Amino acid sequence: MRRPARPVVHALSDADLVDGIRAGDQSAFTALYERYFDRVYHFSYARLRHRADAEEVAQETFIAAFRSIDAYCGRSALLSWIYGIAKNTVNNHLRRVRAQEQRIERAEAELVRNAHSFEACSPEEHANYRRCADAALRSLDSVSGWQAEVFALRHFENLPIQDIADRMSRSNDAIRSSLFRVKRLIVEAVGSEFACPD
Amino acid sequence: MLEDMLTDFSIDELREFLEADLVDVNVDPEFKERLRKQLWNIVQEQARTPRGGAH
Repeated sequence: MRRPARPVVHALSDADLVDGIRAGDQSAFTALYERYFDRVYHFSYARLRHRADAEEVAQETFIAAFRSIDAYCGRSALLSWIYGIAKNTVNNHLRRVRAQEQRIERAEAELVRNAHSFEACSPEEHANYRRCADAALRSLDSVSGWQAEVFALRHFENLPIQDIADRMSRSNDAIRSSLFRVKRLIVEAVGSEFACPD
Repeated sequence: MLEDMLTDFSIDELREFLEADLVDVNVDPEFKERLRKQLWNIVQEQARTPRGGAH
């Protein structure tokens, strides 16, 4: 006996899938997720060039989309709606990264202004500086080659971001993002070197 | 309202979004599955919550 034809969920339109999700149909939800996951994730990765950041942005994008799926009323295509959320989320992420990077730069500048001259240090201070330097170098050893190179070009050769981006064939955002991550690693490594045991 | 705010972009940008499928990067399947479960929970939770009028 032939069963009545049932629409294949993957062949349904976005609008039909949204209706299915509103009605609590898990297969409609899974189909929509599968349809958009790669686009959102790969778009985020293409902009950020960092796996963990791309995952964070993809997660934020989908949570925002599914939390407001009831408010989606179909005036625009779902594709452009989800793209709009992904783009906003990526831009917000980049703004947060830049703000954090600027905070670190200001803190570094403050540190330099307040530092004693190396020659005037006591033996104990010399030992502490050495521990800081060793921790920083270990951090640099732990990052990928291109990230260490970017850090060296920026902080040892004082090249502008644009020049580094051109030399490394990467976007300015990717260079800023890499510098921020390496600096964060160094700050954490140096901080943990001097952390008081509980 | 949200829809109006989020559709302010060009066809080229949308094309970039579609072509992002071509970026060669492997997705962590555990992340993808974890997110799928999290999102399905959100959808179910919303279905249980009384709706306060759609926009």
